[in-house]
Amino acid sequence: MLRYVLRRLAWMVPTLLGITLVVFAAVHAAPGDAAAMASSAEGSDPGLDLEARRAQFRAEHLLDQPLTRQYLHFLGPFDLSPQGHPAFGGSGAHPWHGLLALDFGREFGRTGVPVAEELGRRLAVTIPLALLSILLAYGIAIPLGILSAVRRGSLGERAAALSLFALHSVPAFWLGLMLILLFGAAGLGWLPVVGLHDKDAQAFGPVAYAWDTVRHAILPVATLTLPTLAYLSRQVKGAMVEALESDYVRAARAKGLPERAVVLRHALRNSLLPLVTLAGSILPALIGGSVVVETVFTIPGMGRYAYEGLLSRDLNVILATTTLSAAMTLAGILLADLAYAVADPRIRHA
Amino acid sequence: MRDARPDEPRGDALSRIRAAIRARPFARAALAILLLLYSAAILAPLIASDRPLLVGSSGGDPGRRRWPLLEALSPLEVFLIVLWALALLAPLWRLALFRRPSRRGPALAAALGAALIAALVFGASSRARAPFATSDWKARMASGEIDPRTAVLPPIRMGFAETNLAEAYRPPTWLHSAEISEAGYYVRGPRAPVKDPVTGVVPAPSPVDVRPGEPARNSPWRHPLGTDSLGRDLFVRLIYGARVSLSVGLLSAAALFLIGVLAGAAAGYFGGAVDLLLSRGIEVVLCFPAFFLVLLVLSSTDPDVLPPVLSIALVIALVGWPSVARLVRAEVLRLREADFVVAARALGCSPARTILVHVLPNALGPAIVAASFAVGAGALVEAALSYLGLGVQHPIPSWGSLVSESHHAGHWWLQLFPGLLILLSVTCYNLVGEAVREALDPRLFDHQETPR
Repeated sequence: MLRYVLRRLAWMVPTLLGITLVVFAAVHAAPGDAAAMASSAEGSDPGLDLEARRAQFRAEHLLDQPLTRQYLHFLGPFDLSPQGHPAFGGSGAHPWHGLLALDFGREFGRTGVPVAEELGRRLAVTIPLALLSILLAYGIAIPLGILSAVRRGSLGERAAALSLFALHSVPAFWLGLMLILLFGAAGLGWLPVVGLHDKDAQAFGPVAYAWDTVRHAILPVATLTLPTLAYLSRQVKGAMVEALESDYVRAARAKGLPERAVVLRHALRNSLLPLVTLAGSILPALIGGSVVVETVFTIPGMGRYAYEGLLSRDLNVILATTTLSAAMTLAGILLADLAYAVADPRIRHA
Repeated sequence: MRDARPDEPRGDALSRIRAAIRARPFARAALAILLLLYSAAILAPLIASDRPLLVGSSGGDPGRRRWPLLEALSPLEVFLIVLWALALLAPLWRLALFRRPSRRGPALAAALGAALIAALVFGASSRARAPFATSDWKARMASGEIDPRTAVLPPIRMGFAETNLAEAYRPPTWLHSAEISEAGYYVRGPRAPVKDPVTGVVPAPSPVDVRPGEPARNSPWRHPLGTDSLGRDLFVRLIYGARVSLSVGLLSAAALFLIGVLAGAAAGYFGGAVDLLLSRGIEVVLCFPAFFLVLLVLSSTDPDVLPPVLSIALVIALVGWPSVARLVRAEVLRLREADFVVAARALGCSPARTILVHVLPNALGPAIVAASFAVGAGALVEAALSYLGLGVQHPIPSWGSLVSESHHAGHWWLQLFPGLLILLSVTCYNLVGEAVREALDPRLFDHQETPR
């Protein structure tokens, strides 16, 4: 088992390197001068003229260096800037930098906040939302899928199948907008639709604060969950139908087990296994979907951060967010595969 | 959705798909809806335009006829319209020319050729023009320069980029809240004029300018789905938006099918270093949050070099090909040592011929299934991109960008109707895809997601 885990971990390294290369190439292939777009190159230090400020900005972010040096600077762990590690000609003031040192530099924007710091704040919003919707999706999809497999062909099941089918085809942003129209102030007025906290939530007591957060999170989580739920429940149903028609279920029925035990103990346990690995492909979809959902609900999460970085050509933000989301995806796939290997010995010995 | 039945017809992929669609009422309805949507997209300029189809006399040249609407078409539009018309006539053709319905190839080639010739002749004979410039034909009719009675107008007399600022954000005109009085005030609803309690100022009226050929001010057909911030008719913009939204899904699926099949076949057939390289590449792209990669690449393409429709389709294909490649690779690996392939090699076929003629036709089933689902997925990605503002450029609409025209809950029609069309089209794509899956790959469990 340990060998399996180590082998999988070792394969992650080239994959992650490949991803960073793709991102790096795409960012640098983009038209437009990052220094010209960055607001910090315009604003700070009014003594210098515009061109000099841009030159200073390029030097600060190594944009005047060869691409290989920029890539190594991004990869880390040594800082290759003039203030960087002494071994690479720096002054030694700031020796460590890059992916391996978990330091992604500063934002290009006027404020120049460290990207890693801001990313932490954004992740604290996005990750709980994504995890919650994965849990909810599995929690609802499994019973729903079992029920539709057992009741296959009934009127209720056919109606549910069709509505889940349509739900799988709903654009996430539009689902969010429709939920806003329905439950927001313009419709029923039941739930808040902007952000994750009320504007004076800081003054609330702990219980009121938590309640406020929950109320704000309901619609975004629903928007993330519903399409995933539709997809998953169809998969559960497919797996269950297949299991219910298999020989071991027929054998279990033949020996007189109650239907409940046949379905839950024999069919379900065998069909659950492949569903675990689906989590590995659901996670990247959720992370990608967070861009849209966070835009619709004005939530300051990682998806929104990545999108803002893209619009302002902030290389540091783009590199940090894409690498991190790729790493999270890889980790999700790995965890799902490990769970599968734990449950099914044929996999880890293959 | 249903079991594979033992009496599933045999035969080539196309006839099996056709039989599967015919056997399922939902798939049949979905195909009919899709054909309708595509027809509307192709015929858009003939259905809705602010140009007259035919003007009997123009300016100081009384005897001269002009066809302003046809003059504004692009060669691509002519090509598609001619092709569409020929396809509509297909049953007639079959009766008149080709007695045997099985000879589809020559008929298709003839239709394509005829459409191409028509487009080329049209392109060569007409002058260069701005494709979406709003016309002044209505103004010329209103001023009396052209007699409106001699003009033949299209069924819907509004252009997709034709603005009418007095009617900005007008609700669907069959609603009571859309009624506008003679003076130009909304009669009821949230936008009815209210005197300011402090200053006593009443908001200025916006008298509606009814141009020649347009429905009356309060006709329910004036703006059946409302208008946007510039008073452009949403229904017309939806018809034109169908062109972008419907083409991106198809184009991206076609491109990712092509890339995926070639890469998968190469990896599976040659093995060794080629396989290792391609498999790693597949894994890298599969592990990437696809939507981020799409955003990243799309934000770095130049709309002047590549039209946005093509670049969006290509970018979607770029992140989508690995799933197809993986399926093809597995099938090719399975077939590589099959007797008929070994025989082909032994007879001296080149690798290219072996792959293309002997291996691939037997390995495409799962890839076709994956590509048919990719159409709907691509359309969804395009909608999200356009919603975020990375899609086609203003003023060309797409269903996704139409949703983002207003975030104000009071302008619900702008958010509701385009989204409904996206939902409808993607559901139809997926229903057809479901039929394709059952025709080519009767296993119920979605084996594209087999454990890695």
